[in-house]
Amino acid sequence: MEKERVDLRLIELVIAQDRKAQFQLFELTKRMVYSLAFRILNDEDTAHDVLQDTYVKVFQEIRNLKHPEALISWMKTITARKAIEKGRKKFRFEELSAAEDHAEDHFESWFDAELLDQAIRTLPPGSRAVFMLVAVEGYPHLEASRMLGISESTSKSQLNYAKKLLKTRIKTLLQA
Amino acid sequence: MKKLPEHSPKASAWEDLLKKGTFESQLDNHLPTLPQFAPQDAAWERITAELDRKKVIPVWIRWTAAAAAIAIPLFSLISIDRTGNEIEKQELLTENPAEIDNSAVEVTPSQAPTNKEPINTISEKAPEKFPPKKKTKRSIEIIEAPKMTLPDIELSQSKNLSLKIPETKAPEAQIQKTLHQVSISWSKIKPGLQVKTSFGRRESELGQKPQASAPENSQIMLEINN
Repeated sequence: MEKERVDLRLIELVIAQDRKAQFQLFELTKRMVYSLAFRILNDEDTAHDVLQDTYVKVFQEIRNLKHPEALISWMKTITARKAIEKGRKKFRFEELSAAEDHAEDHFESWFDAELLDQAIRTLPPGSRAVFMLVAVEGYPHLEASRMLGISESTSKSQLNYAKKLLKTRIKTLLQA
Repeated sequence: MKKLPEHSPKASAWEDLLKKGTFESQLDNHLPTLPQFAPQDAAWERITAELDRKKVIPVWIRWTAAAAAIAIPLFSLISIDRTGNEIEKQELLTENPAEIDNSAVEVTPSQAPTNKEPINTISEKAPEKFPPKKKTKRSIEIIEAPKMTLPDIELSQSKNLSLKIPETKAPEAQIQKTLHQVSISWSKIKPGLQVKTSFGRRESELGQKPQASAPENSQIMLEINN
């Protein structure tokens, strides 16, 4: 959606360091950037720091962007990297136990995006980061594992773990 | 081709598939439409402030830093080179006078090698940090001093052998051996022995005219009674 609104003329003005164009781009993309940072970190203050760092970097380095049509994905990558950088200390990738691996796979309920968002925010930081990068943003496991500094197999197991936890949490939220 | 036996799945397989599909499909449907959050209103102001702060710094500070980064090593290299040249000059100054002195001492060429030895030892003990310098032909050539033959002196042939001793007055201090004055008389009146001492005299008198050879103190009176 944002891709359609951010036209090339606006990008050219942003490259020319036009402050109005910068503000326009900020208004168009601030929710996307802030939501991604907030979901990875689950902390408002740190998410605001990531937002600021992301836009400063975007406005300073946009002239080096070879493909302006890839602006949105480039901004998302910057946001994800900044968020991981800020929350690296919080991320723990515990080894999954056999009991958790054989958790209940039965799911018959219906849920909406609001409930899913609440369930995502209750995930452990490490598995939540993997889920956000792979399931939500669509990064391949290899790239996500490199960004997080973990192995590809750990990324896959953490994603499965996150999905199983989500089922449990959604059920709990539905029952509440 | 033989027909392999067929196996039927579990009875709950279809239900399980539906259930799994339910969660995954719901997840895929809802993930792109997750609710979005808005940042604080002051976020843009903080970004612009940060941008302005970073915009001021780079233009001239980067150039200054780059210039400093180039200039400091350059000046240090030049200064090191200068000090090296000065040390070389100082070495030349210290070497040549030694040779000059050596040549000045030499009276005959036969003595030259013996005098040169200490100079060579000094040059061998020079610090190793300076590279050994090539000996230039600057060293001063040794000038042979002409042999001087003095005429022989014969005492027997000398005509005036009498030793002329300059007349010198005996120092007055040697004459005065005592500060006492003794007077002797031969008159009828028996004067007795009169002894005068300089005890109690002022120091000025003693210091300025202490000599017994002075006119007033040189009187000796002898009186002999018949």
